[in-house]
Amino acid sequence: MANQADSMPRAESSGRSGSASFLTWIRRNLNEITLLLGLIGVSAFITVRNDVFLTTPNLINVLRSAAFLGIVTWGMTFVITAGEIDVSLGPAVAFAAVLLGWLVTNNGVPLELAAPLVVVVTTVVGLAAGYVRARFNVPSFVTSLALWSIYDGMKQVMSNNIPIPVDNEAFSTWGRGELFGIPYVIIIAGVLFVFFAYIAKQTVYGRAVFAVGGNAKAAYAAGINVLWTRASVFAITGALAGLTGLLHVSRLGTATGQVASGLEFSSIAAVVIGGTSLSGGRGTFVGSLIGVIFISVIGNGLVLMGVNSQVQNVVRGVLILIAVLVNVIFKRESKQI
Amino acid sequence: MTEQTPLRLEHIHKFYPGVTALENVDFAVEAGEVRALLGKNGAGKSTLIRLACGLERPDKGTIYIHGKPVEFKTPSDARAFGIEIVSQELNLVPWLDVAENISLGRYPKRFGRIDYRAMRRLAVESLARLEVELDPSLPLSRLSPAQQQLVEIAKALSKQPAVLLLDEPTSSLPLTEVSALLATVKRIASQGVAIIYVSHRLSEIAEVADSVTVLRNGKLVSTAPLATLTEQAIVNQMVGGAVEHIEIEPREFATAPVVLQVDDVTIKHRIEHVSFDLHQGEVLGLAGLLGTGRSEILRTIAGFDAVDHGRITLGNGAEHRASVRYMIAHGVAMTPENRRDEGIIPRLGVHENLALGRWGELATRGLISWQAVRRVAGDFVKKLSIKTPELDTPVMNLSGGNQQKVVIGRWLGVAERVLLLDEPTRGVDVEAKSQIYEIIRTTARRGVAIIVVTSELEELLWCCDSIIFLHTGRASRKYRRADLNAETLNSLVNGGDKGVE
Repeated sequence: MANQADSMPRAESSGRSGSASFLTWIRRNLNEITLLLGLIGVSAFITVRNDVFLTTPNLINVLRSAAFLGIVTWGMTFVITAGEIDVSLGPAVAFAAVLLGWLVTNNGVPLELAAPLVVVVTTVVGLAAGYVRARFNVPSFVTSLALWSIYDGMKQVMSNNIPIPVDNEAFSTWGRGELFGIPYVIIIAGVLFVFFAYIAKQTVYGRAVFAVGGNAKAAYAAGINVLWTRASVFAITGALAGLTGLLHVSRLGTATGQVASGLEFSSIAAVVIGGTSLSGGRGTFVGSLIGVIFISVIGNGLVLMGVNSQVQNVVRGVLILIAVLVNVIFKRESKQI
Repeated sequence: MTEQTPLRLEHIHKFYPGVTALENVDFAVEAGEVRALLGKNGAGKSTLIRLACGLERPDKGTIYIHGKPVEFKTPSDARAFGIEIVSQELNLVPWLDVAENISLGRYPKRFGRIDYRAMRRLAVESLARLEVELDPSLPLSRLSPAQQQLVEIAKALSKQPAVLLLDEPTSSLPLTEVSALLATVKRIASQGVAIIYVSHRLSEIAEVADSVTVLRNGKLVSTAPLATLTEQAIVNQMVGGAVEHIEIEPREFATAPVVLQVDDVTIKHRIEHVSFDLHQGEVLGLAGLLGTGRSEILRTIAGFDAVDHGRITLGNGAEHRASVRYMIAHGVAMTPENRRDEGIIPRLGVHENLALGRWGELATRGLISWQAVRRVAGDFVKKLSIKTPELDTPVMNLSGGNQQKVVIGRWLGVAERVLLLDEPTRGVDVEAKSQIYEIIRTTARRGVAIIVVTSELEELLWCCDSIIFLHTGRASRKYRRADLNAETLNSLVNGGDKGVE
């Protein structure tokens, strides 16, 4: 009897805390939940208007373009969380593509050597830009804008604006190959997502990025290496831009400077839609993932519904604005003035 | 309570999710009166102020202006009824001049263009009302914090308010300028303005207020003329019981090992030829007015700045370096004067803010053990009585006192040699203050040497074993706590050396 009486209230209280923790979970993830609902809403709208959208080949298409956007966006999430910005990504990817073609086709460097070399180059350039930002306190908007121009010019100088063919059977499987019907590119983006989301949450380095973005002075006073943290996030976007460049060449079979135009802005938009704060210190990888898919779905949907390509950009811009606005309104702290 | 009463709040209720911020509070202030509004952090002061100046609306109850019920939808509604607020954070533009800052957002116009002459006239007039001598054409960034605070008040006054709310106007001011500000406040009141004055410093209240309203847990405790109250009575009302000042046991350190030796240290234009020894377990107070180099000494020891001349050595033979990371690794760390700027990482959780200094112990090869983080943070939350809903609540949601405890807690167990505390009780309520001093004593008893800098002199007597006075970058000899009292302390800090030797 006594035992029963004892156990009763305990069961009740655990039930209560269960529902409370579910509510807490919803409140904590409100950002991601609203995003997901928005994504489902947009997808439903497209599905109703077009019966191709919800087919496996098309969804694979959406995910493939999401992968090309996503890989750099995981890095961008770090950059923006650290309170920085990197607008050089589009030209960085195009440069990486052209550099590979230039090395392999124009200069006969073996691909096995050229490919890693390209990633090393973009990583080192990113690190250097990050170092300039951190050491001399130049706003990263300016350093990466300069880098944008340098990359853009370099790719034209090296290619004369002519696509360079890169013929390599083994290499092209990276961009074209599939595993159980899923393109490698999607798997690569997925693996990198898990890797970086893990770094963000589970490593001292990841938390340092959040701390520096949240309050650099306090992070410094707490003994965090602010300079290295700031420089390193640009090395990450550099490396990922290099990798994305390689994947473009692999998929197309040619190195062209036409790829990834405007990628930097889609990437920033995806991160911001995802709920990462542009003022730094608050970032979410799951949000960025949904943001990336959101942008890819919109792009795909506009094409499927036959929207005039000039109008597409306008619609895309408006939708991105709405998405960000909804996100901002939903998570505004009630007491904020 | 007549038609004359410029501001009256009646039966005010305000609820936030899960919290009753104000419960049936009545509050009225008369023209020419300085009313002190007191309470611990979270007592409802800020809420009351936010309601009075239109930042928020009451859930129940009515606000009366000169006897007429009104509703403020926005701060500009309140302003239209003559209610102005000077908040803790200055709302001024650093690169505009004083005159333009005073007229900001309501420039006088003539023929559709800005009338700079009228703007200047307005500035001169409102500064004159404060009896402040200040060139209106100076850019704001050239002014001292105190002068900026005065400009903010002048700006509020230039709108001819009936009620002026001052929210901790002295929290960023050096002691010398506080009395000038208090005199200004009294002068404004004598011109018929009703003033609501919020501050944690009871000594100021005693000097400036006519009457005192105390809130506790969202309820009105009392409103009474100042003359009928003692300081102790006010504190008891705020806390809801008697607070005991910690009487500290006299201790001898001559035989304890020296853990820090500051030898003839000079930093250009900041401090000159400062020397002292710090013993294991000793709590040393650095007393001095703002700008006497007290923060600079702490920052130098903590590795933020390099020494121009002289030497700092750690007792164990390890050298001192101008590197914050190096000093932390050698058990020397500082909590900064401005915790919002340099202390907390606002959006990170309480647990992570506590973990920030000790990743070495909570992570292996860069991989964090969140289980260990929660365990250690949970211990500190309990030990330091940090009030937080959850361990991972963003630290910005905590009250000032609890944020300070988090910032101090970050270094407990890490700064095992020397702990440097710059203004650990600034903007902290009375209860948290005594808790912080208790933390200081306990930590010192464990053998950590501590240096405390504070503007609130008498507090040095509650926690220090010895005190050094600073004047224009030079240090006095070390005085023993037992040889000092409130009076000698004051004379020493102002440059005298009477009655002590």
